[in-house]
Amino acid sequence: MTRFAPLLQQASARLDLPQPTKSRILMEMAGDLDDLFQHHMAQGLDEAEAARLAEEAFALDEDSLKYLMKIHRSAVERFGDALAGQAATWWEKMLLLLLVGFVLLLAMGAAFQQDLLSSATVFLWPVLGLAVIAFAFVVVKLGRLVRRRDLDLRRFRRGLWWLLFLALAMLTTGFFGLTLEFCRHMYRLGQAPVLEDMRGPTGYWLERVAVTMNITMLTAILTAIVWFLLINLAARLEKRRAAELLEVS
Amino acid sequence: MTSPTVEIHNLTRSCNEALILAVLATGPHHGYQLALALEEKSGGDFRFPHGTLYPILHRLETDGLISGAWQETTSKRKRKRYALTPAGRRLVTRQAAAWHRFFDRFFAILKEVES
Repeated sequence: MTRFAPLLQQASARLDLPQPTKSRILMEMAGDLDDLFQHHMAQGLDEAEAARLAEEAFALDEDSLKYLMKIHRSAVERFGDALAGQAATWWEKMLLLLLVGFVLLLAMGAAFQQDLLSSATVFLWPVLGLAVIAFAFVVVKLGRLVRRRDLDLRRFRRGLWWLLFLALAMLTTGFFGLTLEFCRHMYRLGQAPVLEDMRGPTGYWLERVAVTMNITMLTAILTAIVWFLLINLAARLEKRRAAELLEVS
Repeated sequence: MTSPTVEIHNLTRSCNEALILAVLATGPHHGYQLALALEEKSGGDFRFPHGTLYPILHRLETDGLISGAWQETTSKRKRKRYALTPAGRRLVTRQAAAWHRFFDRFFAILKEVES
């Protein structure tokens, strides 16, 4: 706990940054505030005056805040902000609309020509599951945007990165399914003596490549999951430490 | 300013960064100590609101010119201390020459007004 919790709470409210960056900045400010307070006390000032001077010295102006947030936003976030910040001209929007419309028509045409679900592999189901989650997420987000006039738009925008994450998860699942199914297919070909000749050298090579890709993707996915869990744990711990600083005594 | 020349279009930021690097060249400092040191060395003329130091320090750290290290104190509170990196030390030397040149020309122009 620190006597400067109200000032740090204000800074926390104004700093639109993800954890653990935000917690680290607040911890640094808390440490320097306390030290400056002790410095003024050592110079003979009373507690109230020392605290006042320390708080005055640490006021964060708008320009400094913006600069701080700019420095700590990731390259991906800056890219996303740059895209979002662009006011697309009407012809750019029309082009994008035509492109999306064309892709959707092609996909729907292919879907209605055959029984898509029965001809797909089992990996279609986790991909569809992720798609349902993404759809539900979009519905909830849009609902909040429509219902709440005082919606925190900064948090709303930051939450949208989950859609990109879901899209990447769908791609990864689909590609993993592709390599696994290819492996299985080549293995089945190898098991049937009549069909074994059909594999040929190229088939053997493709099978080896597919097995390698499969194991690579599995280990990469597991590593990514562990990374995700660990950074979330670290961010929660840092957030808890920063929250302790912000408790008003 | 992370280049050895003075950037006129960003003079305030260049100046602030140069001053902070110059203070760190004398030894590692905590954030609050930097502002106090600048005020003391300038005889009270350069007063940095401490809050404005953080974006500059974090930018210099991102650029690899200074390094920040967390230290745990006796009260288990963490403090961050900054020190110049070898790249920062090289830049400070080159920047000092650039600032001398800048101010020589600046005063040469002012002298014309005075005369």
